[in-house]
Amino acid sequence: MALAAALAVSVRATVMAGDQATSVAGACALGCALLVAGGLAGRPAATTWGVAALAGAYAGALAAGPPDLDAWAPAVAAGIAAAAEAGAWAAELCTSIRLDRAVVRARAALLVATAAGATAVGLVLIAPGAGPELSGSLVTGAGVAAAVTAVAVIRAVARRT
Amino acid sequence: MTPAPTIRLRAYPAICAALLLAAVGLRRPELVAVAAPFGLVAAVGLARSAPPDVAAHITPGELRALEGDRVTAVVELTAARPAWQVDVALGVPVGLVPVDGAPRRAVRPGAGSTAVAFELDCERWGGYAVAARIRVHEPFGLREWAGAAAVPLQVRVHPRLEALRHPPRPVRTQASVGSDTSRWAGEGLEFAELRPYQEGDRLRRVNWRVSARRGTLHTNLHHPERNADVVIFLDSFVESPVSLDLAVRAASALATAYLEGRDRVGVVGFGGVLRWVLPSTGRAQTYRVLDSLIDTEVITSYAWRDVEVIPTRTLPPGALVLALTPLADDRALAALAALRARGFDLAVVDVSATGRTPAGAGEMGELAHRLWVLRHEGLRARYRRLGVPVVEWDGLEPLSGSLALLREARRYARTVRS
Repeated sequence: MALAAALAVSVRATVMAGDQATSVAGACALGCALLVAGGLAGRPAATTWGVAALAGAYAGALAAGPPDLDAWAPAVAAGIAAAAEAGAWAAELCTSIRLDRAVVRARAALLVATAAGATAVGLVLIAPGAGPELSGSLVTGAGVAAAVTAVAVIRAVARRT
Repeated sequence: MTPAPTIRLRAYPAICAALLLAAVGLRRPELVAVAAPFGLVAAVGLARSAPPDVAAHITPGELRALEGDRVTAVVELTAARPAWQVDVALGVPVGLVPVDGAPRRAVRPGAGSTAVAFELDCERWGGYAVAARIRVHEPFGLREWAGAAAVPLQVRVHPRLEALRHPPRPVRTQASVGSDTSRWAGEGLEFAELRPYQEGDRLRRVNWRVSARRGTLHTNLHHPERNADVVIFLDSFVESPVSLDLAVRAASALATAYLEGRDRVGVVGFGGVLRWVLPSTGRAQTYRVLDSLIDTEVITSYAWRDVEVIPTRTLPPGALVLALTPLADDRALAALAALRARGFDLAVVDVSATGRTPAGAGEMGELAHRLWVLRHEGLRARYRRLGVPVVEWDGLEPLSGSLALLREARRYARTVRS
């Protein structure tokens, strides 16, 4: 399932990349390979960095592709989130372990909820930008501030716990 | 419980930050949508992260079984509140085999107590400690909490014993009542001899038929039934799993047979580590002896040991010393010779399994094997010259067959003092 989600993201990124499709496809292939290797070898780190490679490939496709807003971005976000969750689960299941049904149900529900949540959040974030083109130093400053604030909030929460 | 951060805790904030900065740099809000799930998972996961209130312990604390039996170990999880996912793993040592593949389970315990059962097949005798470890997962997988059951499960697997109806009998008996016929005459069941009546003889002992025929009173004398002291001498110097296995199986069968006959049985484990069980009788002694035997292991040592290191109380005078040895280590051989020289009633069961051991490859292997077999035959002959009967048991034939040969060789056994 992780591979299916990753392949879907890869196809979208490669299609968007235009003349940089080869480079983006290479980055996607690297991401997929890391995801599969991590899942088969029981290495959660590999799956996580595979997902990071996929996200990076999508960022590269956006940079190389047309300037129009990608309406498929929420689906890509959901795909990457699902690939991350399913890849981590695959890595856990690499060692022989018997799962109770309740665990399977809970993990499957979490997988679906993560993908659905990513889609919903993506739609909320993309919808305002679908109108006028984003530009200007004010928006840039707001974006940098939002990024720094997000990292600071995460760091503060991590320190508290 | 010990927390351990997962790769997600380090990677997700970094991926989120990188994607947000890329979104700003490339002026692509789509990357914010891609970054958001990573940031949300990290933020929500950390906000909800708390030490889990889950404890584990194994029940029962101790299990006894025979080889081939199946035992059930239950890990009880006690949680104050429901946990997302708990992985329970048993550390199963060699000799025990989990029935359903790997002994790992992932469960979702609710508040209260949850039992997770594992079935284990007991493949080989031995004393085993089975530890239980738990790993508590959080919903978003940012941290894992590791713990373990405080006390491991003790599994004591006894070897399947061959019932020995007639183990070798000691030459000398002791004072207590038992099932051995004493060589002395006295009160008992088995007829010993006839002699003229003496003052003080009980009237019920008078043999009236002989008295009528001879014209004077004659009385019957009987052999009293007494118990005996038996010391099982286990040579665990040599690193040979086959020999040790045979020695422990034979020792267990012999000890059980003697103890069922109300004899006092002690054990001396003579090896890298000296172990002993003082001679005693009864059911409790059966468990003491069997527990001592299944804990036997080969511990390599180059220190010279002789019979002086054996505590005196473990070798009572007149005891039958049954040595189970592969006849390979000079220290054990010297100790046995010293015991014989001190007048102990000694018998040796050779568990070297020379017949089961194939020769090595090539001409040199064949030659080495022949030399080894010859050396064993020489050692057996040396003990026989000392008046010590030696029989071989290779585990393929019943032990009772080898012991029958030993009984035959000991028919005229005497204890001597040099």
